[in-house]
Amino acid sequence: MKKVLVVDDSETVRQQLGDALSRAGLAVIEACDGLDGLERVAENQDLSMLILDVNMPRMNGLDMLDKLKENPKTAALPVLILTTEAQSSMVARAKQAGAKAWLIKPVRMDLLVDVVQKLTN
Amino acid sequence: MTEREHRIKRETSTAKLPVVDTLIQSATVAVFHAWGVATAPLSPGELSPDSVHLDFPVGIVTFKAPGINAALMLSLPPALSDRLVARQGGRADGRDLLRELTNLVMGRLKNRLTLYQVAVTNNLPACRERMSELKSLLPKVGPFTAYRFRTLDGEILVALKGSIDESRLSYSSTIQINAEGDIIIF
Repeated sequence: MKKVLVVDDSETVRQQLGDALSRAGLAVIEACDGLDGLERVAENQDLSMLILDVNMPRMNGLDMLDKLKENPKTAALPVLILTTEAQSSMVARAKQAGAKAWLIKPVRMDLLVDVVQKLTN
Repeated sequence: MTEREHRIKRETSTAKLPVVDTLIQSATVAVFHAWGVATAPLSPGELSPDSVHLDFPVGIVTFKAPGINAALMLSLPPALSDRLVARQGGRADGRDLLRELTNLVMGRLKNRLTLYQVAVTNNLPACRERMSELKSLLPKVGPFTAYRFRTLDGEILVALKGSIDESRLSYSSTIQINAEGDIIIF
């Protein structure tokens, strides 16, 4: 079973994503900010992809993305950004850092699951 | 509409913040629509924080830009809050859900202000349980404007406290923004 790490400081969002992705046959683990997310990545060597929020306490999603790409062990993991942020400069930064997609909240769950399935296959 | 027409519209409007009023109302309606809640905006009014009935907890996010120093608050009627929590399978934390809804309204407002050539920075949204906690986060100056929205479960209240200089907002029809719900594949 493909395993997805959802990193978002909102428990509500993590639950919504967890429910939708589980129904699609994916295993989901959660983290509440970038630092917590890096710990989950270190503990789970079999991750298929990550979904990152941007604005989070302690470490934001873009800084976490940079850390993932700096590490040869995690650099190839597909990353999807899910956020309320829509500024073109931030989108461009994520693209340059190696993210695969940027989704602006609120997004339809069926469309999000479709993107996740494409990125994990 | 040309910039001149925008300026005339702003100067002749009876509202003190015609642009921001419209943006907050449209942002709130759109966010709650996405969550399956129909809302009807009522006329905004300038009040004192103590004269407004806020259903606690209240979601709050502070934001800044050149000419802007303000806080956005969101208060839900208990029946609506209960319904939204129940819709999440009853597992959701009402305070977290309120914080996320505040985040979504702020995100939409911030995105729309980009069209007016304003780059807003905001803090992380928070939730406060009582007025004394809320007041400590509010900007000291500027009016308190309440935006009410009728729903089948009571009235949603969005409030704005602080200073916003609308003369600094200059609409540009050439700025392209990414919209909520957009999926950008790299």
